[in-house]
Order: sequence, then structure tokens, then C-alpha cells
Amino acid sequence: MDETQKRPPSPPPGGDSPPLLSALGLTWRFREGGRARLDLRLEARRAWRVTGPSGAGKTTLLKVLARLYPSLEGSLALAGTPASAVPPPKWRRQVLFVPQNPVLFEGTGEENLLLPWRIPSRRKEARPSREEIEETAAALDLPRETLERPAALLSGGEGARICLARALLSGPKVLLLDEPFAFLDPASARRAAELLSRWIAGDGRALLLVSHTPPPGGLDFHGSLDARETLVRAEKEARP
Amino acid sequence: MSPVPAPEITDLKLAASALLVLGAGGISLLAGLGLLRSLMVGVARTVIQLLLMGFALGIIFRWNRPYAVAGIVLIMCAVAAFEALQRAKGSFRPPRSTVFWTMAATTYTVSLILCAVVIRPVPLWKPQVALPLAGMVLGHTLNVVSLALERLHSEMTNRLDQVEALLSLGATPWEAARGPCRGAIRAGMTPILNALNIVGLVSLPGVMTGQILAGADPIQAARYQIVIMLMLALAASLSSLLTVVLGYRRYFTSEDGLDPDLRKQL
Repeated sequence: MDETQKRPPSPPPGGDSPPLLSALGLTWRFREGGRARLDLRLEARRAWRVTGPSGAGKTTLLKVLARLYPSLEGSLALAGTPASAVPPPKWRRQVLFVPQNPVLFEGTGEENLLLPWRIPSRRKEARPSREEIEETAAALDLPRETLERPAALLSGGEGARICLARALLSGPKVLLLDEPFAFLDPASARRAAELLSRWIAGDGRALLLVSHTPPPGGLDFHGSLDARETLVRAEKEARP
Repeated sequence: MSPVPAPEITDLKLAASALLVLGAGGISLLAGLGLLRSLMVGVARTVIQLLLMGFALGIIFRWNRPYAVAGIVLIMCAVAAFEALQRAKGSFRPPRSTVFWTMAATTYTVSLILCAVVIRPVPLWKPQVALPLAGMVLGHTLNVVSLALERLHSEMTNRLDQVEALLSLGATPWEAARGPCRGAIRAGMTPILNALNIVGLVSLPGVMTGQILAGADPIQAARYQIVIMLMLALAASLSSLLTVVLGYRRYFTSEDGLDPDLRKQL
């Protein structure tokens, strides 16, 4: 496939390199007859916060960026590579959505951490090293005993921290976190925020985080996005 | 041992069997079950459908042509596909043509193997052998397909968050739906697995009963039944596999995401 033909419209003048994640006129259906539209330039090493009241479409917005929810028109690109040139499963490994409610599978906490490498098409990918796993687990207060327990016996907070650790270890470029602190007590929320802050300092990483309450300290945001502003067409206007 | 068939059922005897239904109807009336209407419709359908089938079989047996045998099996597949979809509700069920081809592929494959390798009648397509076999495969397949479809739907709905989490982590739709698909195939296999274990202990199955009534040696009848049971096991695994493989994709969008309508209907 010819790369040059698939390039999205060139980014506004000023930046030499394309933003890490960009959306241009990205549109999707939201609720009965409604539409949402997003223009976004998320640079590397940046953390943005998505705000808005319940039901404003914050989760859907993240899912559209992960290509879990269908978009209607517009373009989406990762480091200049248009989404249309990347198969969705491959895209999602780089633009990783983590849902608000922790999703755990049968097995121990540790088996849940290593779930990505149990997916047949990812088996050949390099696994994180022992140290990496232990470092991330320690930063999220996940001691050995917790990791050895069956997932069904873990608390909501432990589950949420395992899901976050799993996401970080699987090596995404952009993390899309839906209320990552909702299940955490203030102390572990703060530690998780600090870990995320260290994580985005790495090369070619960025973070988009949904939170309708002020997030704990420890993570500085470089911008914010109000989900209400993406709603471009009200329900009655959309009727033909 | 020469076959000593059971006595013939004359018109008068058939009419006498209506007394049996009167008994069932009486119970329904007395207990206020409100089943009288369904019972009457069911009885009427049974009488008409079976007599018509007997009549049609008579014609085909006399006609004795391979394409007539193949053709009537195809019609039976179409009816079975219609019936299976009738039982599986919901907007995620597969189109009728998919179910039809599942039924047809299963029925032809299994009956052909059975006729060509195991029973070997002369000619191979002998209607007296091929049609009852195809009918039995189809009857079981119909059950399997509707069970598998129903289970696929309930598993996809119940495990929606897990499926989506796997998609998020970069799984393909097939990889993400593997759990629900496995559950659906297992559900389709359950009836025959149960039957394989209790057959002969609780009830005498159809073929064996039929052969014994027709005066056959019980040991021969048992052997026939064994062959039939094994054939149904193959039919069940084949049809539930086809149903799931051809059906799971409808739960996903063309972009390999979960269909948003699935969450909406919760």
C-alpha cells in the first residue's frame, strides 16, 4: 500500500513531526440520532483529562479512539500513520483502552497480568521481564500474595490495579483510561497517578484519562477536553 | 429368525388412539391447564404431517431415484432451518441461508459417510435407508443448532465485558469470542453426550423400538442403534461447530469492535 496516499491532511503548521495521536473531524453516532465530533492533537509525553458529566459520552469517546466503537467519518492517526492502514487489533495494542470496571479472567492475579501474551496472536511478542513485572506491581501495591490469589477473590481495588498494571506492561503508546481511580483509596490512587506520571515521561507515550471528579495529585495534566463539546448535533436536529 | 412384524394399524385402530388424546385433553380441562387448544393443534399437525410424510415416502420408494432422495432431503433441511431460527430469537441470529447450509452440510456429510462406509445399502442412496437416516440427523441437528445459537447469544451477552477487554488488548474477534464459542459448542453437544450415557437404561430409542416392532432381532436392532448414536454424535459436533464459526462474527462490527447494539439491549 502506498504510504503517502494514506496520509491524513497535514497537521497545522508549526509542528515538524505529527502528534502522537490525532483526530480530525472524527465523527461518531452518539445516542438516538445524536452525533459527536472530535478534533484532537495529543502530543507525546502529554497527559490529557477528559471531563464532563455522566452520560456526556466520555467512555464512548475513548472507545472511538481505540476503534472499539465505530466512527462514521473523519480521520484518526497514530504518529502520522492513519488508522485505516492498521488492522484494528494491532491498533488497539498501541492505543489501549482500559474500562472503568476491572475485567478479570479465571486464574490468579498474575495470570491476569500476563493475559495479553495468552492471546494466540500475541504469544510471540516479548513478555515483560521479571523485574519489570515486579517493579510495576510494587508501584501499584500488588504484593506477591495478591498476585497468587485467584482473581475471583480479589477486591475491586486490587482488580483495578491489576488491570492498570496489565495495561502498562503490555506496552501501549497511548493509554486511554476510564476512571482509573474510581476503585482506589486515596493513598493507592496517588501512587497510581505517580506511576502514570513516570510512565508518560518515556519516549512516544501519551495518556488520555476520563475522570469526572478531580484526580488525585501526582500527575500533571497538560490539557483537558470537555466531552460535552464534542456533541455537535442535538437529537431533534438530527431527525430528517 | 424370520421377522414377525407387529400387527397392522388399521383405520379403526387409528381412530381408537384418539381416545388417548381425549385422556390428555380431559386432564388439561380438569386441571385448568389451558392447553386444550395447543393440544388439538398439535394432534392435528401430527396426524396430517405424518400421514403426508408416509404418503410422500411411498411415492419416493416406488420412484426410487437418487435425485428424488437428495431433493427431499434438501426440502427437509429448509424446513429445519426455518424451525431452528423460529426458536432462536434476537437480532444477532444468523440469516436463514447460513442455518440452511449448516443443516445441509451436516446432513449430507453424515448420511453419506454412514451409507457409503457403514451400512452400505444397495443402491447406496436406497430411500428406505437414506431418508430415515437423514431425517434422524436433521431432527437432532435442528436441536443442536438452536441450542448452540441460544447459548452463543447468552454467553456473548453475559461475557460482554471480557470479550471487549480482550479486544482492547489486541485480540481478534475470534480470539475474543473463543470462550463464548466454546460454551456454545459444548451446549450443542450436551444432549447427545447425555443420551450416549443413558441410552438403553431408561428408554429404548426410536430406531431400536421401530426395528423390534417390525420383528427384527433385538441384537441387530441394538447394533443399528449404536451406529445411529455415533452418527448423531458426529452430526452434533459438526453442526454446532459450523453454527458457531459461521455465527459469531455477527456480534462484531466490520472494524472488529463489539456491536454497540449488544450493550444497548442489556
